[in-house]
Amino acid sequence: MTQADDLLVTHDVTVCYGSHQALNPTSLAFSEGGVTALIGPSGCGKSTFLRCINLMNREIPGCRVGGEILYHGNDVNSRSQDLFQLRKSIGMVFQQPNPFHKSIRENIVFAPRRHGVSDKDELDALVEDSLKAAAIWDEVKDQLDQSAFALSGGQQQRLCIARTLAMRPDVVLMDEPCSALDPISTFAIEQTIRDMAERGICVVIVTHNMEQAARVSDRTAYFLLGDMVETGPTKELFSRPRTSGSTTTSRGGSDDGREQDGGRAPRPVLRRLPCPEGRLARAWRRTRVTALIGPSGCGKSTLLRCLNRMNDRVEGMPPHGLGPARRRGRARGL
Amino acid sequence: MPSAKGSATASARRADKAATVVLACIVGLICVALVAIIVGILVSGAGKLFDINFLTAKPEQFKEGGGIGPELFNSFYLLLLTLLISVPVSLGAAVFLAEYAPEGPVTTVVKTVIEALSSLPSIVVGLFGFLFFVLTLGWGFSIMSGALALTMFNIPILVRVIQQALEAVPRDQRDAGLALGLTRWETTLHILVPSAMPAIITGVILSAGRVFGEAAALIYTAGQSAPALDFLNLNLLSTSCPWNVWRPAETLAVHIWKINSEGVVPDLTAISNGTAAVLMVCILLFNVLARFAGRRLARRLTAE
Repeated sequence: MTQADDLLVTHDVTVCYGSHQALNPTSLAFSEGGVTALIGPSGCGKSTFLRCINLMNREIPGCRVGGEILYHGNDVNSRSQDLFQLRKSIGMVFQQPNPFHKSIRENIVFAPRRHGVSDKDELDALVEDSLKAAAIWDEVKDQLDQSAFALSGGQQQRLCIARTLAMRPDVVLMDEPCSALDPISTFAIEQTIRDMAERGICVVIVTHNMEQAARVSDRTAYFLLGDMVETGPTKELFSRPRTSGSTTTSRGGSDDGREQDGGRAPRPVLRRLPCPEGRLARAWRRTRVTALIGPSGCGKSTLLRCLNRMNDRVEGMPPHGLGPARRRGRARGL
Repeated sequence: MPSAKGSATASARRADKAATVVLACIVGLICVALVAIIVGILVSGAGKLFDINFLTAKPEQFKEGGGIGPELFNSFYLLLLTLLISVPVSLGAAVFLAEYAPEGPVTTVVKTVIEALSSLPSIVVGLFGFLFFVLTLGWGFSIMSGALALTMFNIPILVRVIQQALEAVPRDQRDAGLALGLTRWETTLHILVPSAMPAIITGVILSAGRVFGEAAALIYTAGQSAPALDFLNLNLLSTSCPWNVWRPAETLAVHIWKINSEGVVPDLTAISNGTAAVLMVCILLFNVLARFAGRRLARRLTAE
């Protein structure tokens, strides 16, 4: 399956953590402008495989990588390969948003500056381009000098993508980039992934969300218990899977928490939510699943934390009770 | 609210209440004791505290009315020198231990040794300094001997505090830096150290308080005499030049010890109380100022 235009090729890559073999020989090829999804249950070796590509596994003590990873035809593990240059052109986005404790602008320009870009106009252009490419420019253009930690989780993750894109990488590795995010941020990031592919970047994304793999990827590789058991064009893999594992797993992603309202009306378990203007009143009933959705920073977690009074422990949050008969209080952000 | 209110829940709730009360009592007792000590020291030394002559004049040998001017200066000068030497060294050692040292028996031994050294009695450090800096190296009773003894006393604590501060920075910050093609040194210097800065500053302040009030390590290293200082004298080899690091220098804490053990001035109690109050106020002020500076610095480094 290796072709001449493949940017990145792995031959029989294996990974051991101490004596435990986490990844059995895996051969895959990734081409420019293509999105490859690595799917499979947790612990199947997909993240381990991903971290081999930009040699992040070297940072884990006791981790040994075997086989061959060719990037532009050169083995990444050879001595002549410059580790820092390699990581610059093979970017990585992590599962949890991990912006630096710096301003938004600094998050973008910090690494390019360390790599020798010093012209101020060039850096400013880089900030704008990267943030636009990650679809976050409009939201943050007026607060570039504020802390990145003031952003919501979804915005932070897009900032991390922008930070990676600022290095002008050929390959972007994404390790479950949306698993900590809300649906709207996820949608924005999936959009960004497609844009990146159109600009010729090779994207490898690890995801446990089958629908996400189906939405964004051109090719999919399915991992199970340390083996890469199946690979192929995403459309084929999802419509005619050869192994039973991929069908079993693909059922997992379909339930999105629909409300199941039966004929009888169950007694509400939680009735009125505390809130100053009484703007948000909801009843939660037994045998009913309620999904709280919305963009990041909209107050859904805040609301959730009110229900078991975890907000009592949050500084600046006045104590409050639940239910009409109990103390009235207020919840921030509703 | 949970509908089940079993006996287990009720007893857990009682235990929670009891723990709250007990903890509050303990904190209350500690606070009362500490406030009593601080207020006691400040009140008994209040007369001298605002006496400009006491704060600037040189101490008298036999008659009353002596001051603590040179001691006050010496204390700050020694603290400054000690921090100038010990902070960079400790930072380097802590960065190595936290970021570079491979896990293994050697690292474990080093860490254990540092922990043991951090509880070394200061008089032992002082006597070592006397034997090595004062006698073997022939530096005599000098600020340099004292600063190095204090450095030895300070480094183990600083290393531990800075190491813990660095290790408390989440792993993903390291990964983020490395994944952008930065070296480990760039990641440490520009990402980890700024993130750990508030904790590092707090550690340095706490250790500075200990250094500022230290007496035992200085008695046999920086000496027990305070030559009169002439601030216009810039000859770095002259004993009366304040900046000369080869002159003996008694500090506030040593002065308190000395005047109580062998002082013959008639007003020694008043001088001792006054010195203690000045020492106390210096440490309090120093803490407040340094904390403020640390917050400002952290905000500037992290844009928060």
